[in-house]
Amino acid sequence: MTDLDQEKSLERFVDRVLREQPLQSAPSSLAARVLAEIEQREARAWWQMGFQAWPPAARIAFWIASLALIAFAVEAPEWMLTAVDLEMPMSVSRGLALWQALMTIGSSISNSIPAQWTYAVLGVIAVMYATCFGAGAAAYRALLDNRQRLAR
Amino acid sequence: MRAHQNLVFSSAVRITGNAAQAEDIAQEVFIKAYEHFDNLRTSETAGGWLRTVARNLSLNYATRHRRRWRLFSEMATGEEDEGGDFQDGLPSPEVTADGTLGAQRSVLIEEALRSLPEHQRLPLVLYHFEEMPYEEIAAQLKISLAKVKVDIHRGRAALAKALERIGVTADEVAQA
Repeated sequence: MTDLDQEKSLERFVDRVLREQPLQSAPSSLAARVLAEIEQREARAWWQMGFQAWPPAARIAFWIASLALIAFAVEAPEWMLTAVDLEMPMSVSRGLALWQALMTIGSSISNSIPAQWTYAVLGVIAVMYATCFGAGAAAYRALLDNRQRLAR
Repeated sequence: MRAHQNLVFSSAVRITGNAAQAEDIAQEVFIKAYEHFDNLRTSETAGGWLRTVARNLSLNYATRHRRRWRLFSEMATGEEDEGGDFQDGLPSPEVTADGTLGAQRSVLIEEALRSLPEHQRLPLVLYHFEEMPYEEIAAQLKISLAKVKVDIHRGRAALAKALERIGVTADEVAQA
């Protein structure tokens, strides 16, 4: 018998054994779980459901509000800086001035750090990440995977 | 639902290899069916629809799980490739060859299948139970066609060994 014949014979044997297998019985709790989940979903408010299930008016309002928020986020800093000299309370203008000072200090510190230090820090982070990943893999193999195999 | 629940659950549990996850998937399938109830109520292909949804959801789970744990789970040893742990854990054929052979045999065959390494079991299930061609299996699992064929071949060989151990041989099946 050639290798091909053996392969075909093995395929036929396995195919026949597996196809003769009866269906596995679903747990008796399945129907009750499905009904409970359907009831729970039916009882939810529209805003608790996925976006596709929202009423059209709510979806349109959401898009308009989102666009308005984006426009505000883009334009707001300019308005605020303009308003500093005009009508903003002293506390707000001081807050903005402090923020600008912090940004300037942060920028000068980052410029003064040698590139080698940056690479070294990135290297340490990469090594720590790899160590955690390796420890996780080892723990999975030692604990969870073995437990699953034993449970079978 | 009761008419199809075993079909859906079987498909899910064979693909995922995990009964708890299969129950979650079966629940999701029937909730989807409820959402499409108007179409399915009169459809003659409702069973096929349910099976396809079950298969797709199970494959989503299985491939996600594969990607997540591929590095961890598939650092397979030679023993795992041969299904060694299954053979060591099984009762001998004499113990199982009693009056309730049919049901017990089915359970042992399912256990033998579940004992295969994930990368062999899943393509084998998709080929023999879900009747998917090699090309589709490769596309679904995002692996090469050659690897699918090798995994299925090795899976069959390992399964045949495990079946032989429980007294299911090609000769016995041919006579049945």
